Amino acid sequence: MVKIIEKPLSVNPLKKGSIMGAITAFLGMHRVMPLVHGAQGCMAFTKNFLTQHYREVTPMQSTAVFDIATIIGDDSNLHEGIANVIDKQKPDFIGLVTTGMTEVRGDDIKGSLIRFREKYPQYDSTPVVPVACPDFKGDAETGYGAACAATLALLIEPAVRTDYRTRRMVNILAGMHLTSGDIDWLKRVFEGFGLDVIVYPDLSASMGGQVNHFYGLPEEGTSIDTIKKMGHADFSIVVGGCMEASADILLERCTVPYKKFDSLTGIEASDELVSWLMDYTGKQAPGWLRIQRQRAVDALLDAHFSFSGKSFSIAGEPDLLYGLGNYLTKEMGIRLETAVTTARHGMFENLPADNIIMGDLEDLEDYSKASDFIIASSNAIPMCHRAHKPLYRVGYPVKDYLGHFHRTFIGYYGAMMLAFDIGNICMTLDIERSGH
Amino acid sequence: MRLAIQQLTEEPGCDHNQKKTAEQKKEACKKPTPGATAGGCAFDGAQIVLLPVADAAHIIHGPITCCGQSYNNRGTRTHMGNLHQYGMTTDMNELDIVFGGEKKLKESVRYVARKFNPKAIFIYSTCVTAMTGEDIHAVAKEMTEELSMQIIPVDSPGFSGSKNLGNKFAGHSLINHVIGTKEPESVPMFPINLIGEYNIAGELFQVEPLFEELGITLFSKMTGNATYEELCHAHRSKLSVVICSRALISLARQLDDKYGIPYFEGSFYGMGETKKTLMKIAEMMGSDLLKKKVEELTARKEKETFDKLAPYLPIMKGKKVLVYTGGVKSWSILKQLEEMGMEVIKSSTRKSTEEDIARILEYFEGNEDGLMPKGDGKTLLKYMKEYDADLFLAGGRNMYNAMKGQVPFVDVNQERHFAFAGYEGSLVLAQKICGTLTSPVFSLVKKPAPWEVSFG
Repeated sequence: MVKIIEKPLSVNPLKKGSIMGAITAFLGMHRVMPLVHGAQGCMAFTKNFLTQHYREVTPMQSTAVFDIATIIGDDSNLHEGIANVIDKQKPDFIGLVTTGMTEVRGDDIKGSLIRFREKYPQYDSTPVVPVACPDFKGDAETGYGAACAATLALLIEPAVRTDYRTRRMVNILAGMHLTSGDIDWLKRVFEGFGLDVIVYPDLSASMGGQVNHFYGLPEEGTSIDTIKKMGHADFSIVVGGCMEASADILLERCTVPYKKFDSLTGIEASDELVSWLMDYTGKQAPGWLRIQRQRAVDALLDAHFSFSGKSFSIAGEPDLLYGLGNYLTKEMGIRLETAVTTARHGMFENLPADNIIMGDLEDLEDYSKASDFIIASSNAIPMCHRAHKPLYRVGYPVKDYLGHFHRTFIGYYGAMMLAFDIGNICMTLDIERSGH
Repeated sequence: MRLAIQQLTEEPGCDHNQKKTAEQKKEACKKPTPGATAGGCAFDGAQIVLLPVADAAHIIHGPITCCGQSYNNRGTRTHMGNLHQYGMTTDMNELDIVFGGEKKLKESVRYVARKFNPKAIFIYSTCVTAMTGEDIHAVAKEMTEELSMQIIPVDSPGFSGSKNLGNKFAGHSLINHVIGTKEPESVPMFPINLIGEYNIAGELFQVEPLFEELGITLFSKMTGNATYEELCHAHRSKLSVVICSRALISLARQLDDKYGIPYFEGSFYGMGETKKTLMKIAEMMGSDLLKKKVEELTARKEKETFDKLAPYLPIMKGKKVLVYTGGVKSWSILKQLEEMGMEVIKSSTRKSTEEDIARILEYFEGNEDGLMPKGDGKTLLKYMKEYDADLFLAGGRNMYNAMKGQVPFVDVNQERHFAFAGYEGSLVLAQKICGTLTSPVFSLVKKPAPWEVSFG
């Protein structure tokens, strides 16, 4: 039963605008320019937020809708913005993200883009992908999913001939909750089963620190040519509910079937993936993967002494929340006092929590009095200080911790690392409480 | 609202407006270029000014982005409360937009008043609520009466302009709704307003002891480490010192017009500027005793600081710096660097007033090559290379540009954790500069990987 706390406002919001999710998705694509159609603050705040989170250059631009233009609502800012971005940055394509302001004004983006094409045929070779991101609707994962779906819908080539297909090519539709560490783990596992993968979008490649030179556009994420060919893949794997719309497009337009994994966190979720891969490829799991499972099991055994009797509360977007909540409750045996989330998609309603709340970090603070520790973003630092509770950082943003994006939370390796991390928090509490 | 914007963009105290023709004035506070912008919106600017008031609550009336992506993000420090760490927003949803959100805003004000019992509540309008015509002024008025608590409307739709204009909106709210609403119990001997100092990373804490020692009272600090109460008393100060010149000069001018409080622009970056600012205060207070005290204090502090700087000065001597920051810092930090023996090759003029630019030119002895207009990461890194610069000094937004260019960098803007003001701050700045200049990492990253080494 999902609770909604009756209150007129959000205090210490957990939710981020869909704009932020959409931009994040585009950052995982090669040489795209995310262009935010709105006042410049929507872009500036988000740039600041994501730069601090990734500790990377995060290219994005704004149409800087300004005063008079706001009231009249003409095309000029949008057209000028697109033209300037193409002239200056020469992106492979533009991700055009609308905002609450342009949505309230009722901008006809599609019509405006048609007029742009008529007026400026010289820019025809640069596709523009519009994504509606009214920030009065949905959350960051919604925007992320919408940007991925819109890009696919515009760019994929229909695969009319099925003989393009090889059984080796699989699309991994990567949800927003995945870190660079998570994506790298997935790539290695699929390679281990002899498969070629397209990770879409690939934030590990673009925001994981491997680009060692200055860039004005995100580099090394999923390229436009790769995206075009995703319809030629034999299968899609969906990791996280927010990517289901993309999988549906691939299924409907190119008949690429898919399998959805609501979570890959914990032993059972990892087993499900590995079983599927064994079935699909007819191959045995590689040796290193077996060792990872043995180590994860050992880690849980070692750590379980400190898990018992503990409770925690967690806040995050639905996909993030479900995987972690599920692992900690069902496999570690830690009681979940309160789960706070931001949107109604995915499986989070099945979590065995005392309270499941659609809300904010104030709700988390008010409903986590019995919790031993908190799992949330670095925005929960002040509340954890007030409540003297340890914070385990996950999600967006994590601003005060180096290397967060390279931590792994999925697969056997992630299960082992989480067993250690959570185990260490619990063990420290035990030691403190025993009076040492 | 429209009228208010016009008045604010035509601020006569803004010296870049004084020399303009009528035509130029209309274009005051320049329109950003779509697709090639940097920097925040007017709402961002308004929040920067007012959020440091931590015993007051701040409710953002709009959809989630304005608050959700921005709260808990500035380096302002305070001992006066903790409400600056809270993000509060009406988080408008679709229905609120269709049916209007004023009722929700009123409920929010009641909720916050009850739960947090703040000294006052600032309510901010944003793009969406300004477009749908929400009357935050009426709400503020009604709620002020109902709750017997000061509720202050801040008109700050992002689309109205840049961060700088938003600073002025905040000043506008202060002068119209806050300053002069209460009388202080007593007024000290030398009361001053410190305008535009937001105590980023604790910079105010670095200069407060100087004022204490001199017997000058920071009567109303706008707004770093301020209480709501002291803002109300600002009209009883004898002098305003404007620290971030461009942003709140209009507030200082209005304080002058309305209450006859003279003002000047000062800076605490560098020992020379600190001394100049303190001396000017003493002069304007008309106290010879104070002047003598400033002379003694600054001489003592300078000696102490140079002693402490001794191990750092040889490292910094003659090193070339590219400075990319805004407003007052674009010239005051040059002098701070010069004091420590460094050479600035270029300084940015974005967000600078004519007067700021004149001061930068003064540093470069009239050579306009020293001026650098707005530039993206690529251009800045190009300059670094072209001029063989040793150090890049800029805001956090450029930090990762610098790291991609693999050049030594010091963050001098809002999100940093180190304070660079006054005497103590010069020492901290020297430590940070030497830290990055001498880090072994920059030679390491230039070493080729084994597969990049050619044989034979």
